[in-house]
Amino acid sequence: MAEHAEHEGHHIASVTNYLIIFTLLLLLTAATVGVAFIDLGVFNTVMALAIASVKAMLVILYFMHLKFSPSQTKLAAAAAIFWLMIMLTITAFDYVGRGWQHIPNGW
Amino acid sequence: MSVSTETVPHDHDEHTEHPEYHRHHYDDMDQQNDAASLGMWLFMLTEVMFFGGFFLGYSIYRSQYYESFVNGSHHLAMFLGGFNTVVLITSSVTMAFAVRAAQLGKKSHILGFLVVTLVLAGAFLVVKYIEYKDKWDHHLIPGTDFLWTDAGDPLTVQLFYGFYFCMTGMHGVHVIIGMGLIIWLLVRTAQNKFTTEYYAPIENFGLYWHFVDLVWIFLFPLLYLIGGLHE
Repeated sequence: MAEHAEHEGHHIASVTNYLIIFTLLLLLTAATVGVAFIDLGVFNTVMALAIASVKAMLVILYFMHLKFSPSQTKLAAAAAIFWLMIMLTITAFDYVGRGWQHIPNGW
Repeated sequence: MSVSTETVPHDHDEHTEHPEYHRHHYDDMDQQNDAASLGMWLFMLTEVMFFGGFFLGYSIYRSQYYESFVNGSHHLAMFLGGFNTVVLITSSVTMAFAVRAAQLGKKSHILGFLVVTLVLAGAFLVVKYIEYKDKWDHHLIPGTDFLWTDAGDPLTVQLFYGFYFCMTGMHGVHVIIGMGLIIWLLVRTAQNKFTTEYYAPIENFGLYWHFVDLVWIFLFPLLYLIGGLHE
């Protein structure tokens, strides 16, 4: 079958490919530490989470080969993120909505 | 249960060519490998929810007692945390190389990269031990011996340390389990159990190991770098 052929013989990434991702991850780690020394107020947390998310995407797509995985694997990964978001956002809205949470200068 | 007395033809006599690692209920190795991979991803989905609970609790209390969390965070060894981030990222790359070696069927390379990954995992735990020991010496372990003399409410600073030890501790348990699994993979590789067609255990352990790296990628900035180091 034609669509079967695309992941037949698993994707083998080149060494250079891994080393590029490795370098990017190290640079982003340095960036996280660097940003923490600059006062951005609330945006310190935003930046920290944004950089961590980019690092996570690099690891998931290239080290975990999700970019080259069959679609049911991609669906499982997307489901993980989706359910995590349900848990985080709905709980957060609940805390704020009940007034249990004061919104301070940093979060 | 009734035991059938009929003569069941022994499966292995029926078809001649099929390696022992190829399970009978799969059409071919491609299908088997995809199923194994999907199973691993579903397991990691549960892991995401497991650690997600920690992150959720952490976020709620952090926003409630922000000042205490910042004060607590300033006592963590940022350098050691950063160093461990580099160690784990490096171990992720060596693990990716081990999987690549498995894809290419280079046994000696698999063994070599697995050993390097194992050593890096051990290095991570040694650094973690140094950090924990320091917290122990400074009475920063939550409990009756907890002692906080700096600014902030000791009770809520203690809450920060509770999260710190639960989250990094649970992550550390994952690292220890990972080291055990690497040793198992080393033995299986040495026994020539893997081929270019069958290396799912190595590949799926790789997924687990990258996940452990992922958790740390979020733990490091959230625990060590909060509240700005610019003050």
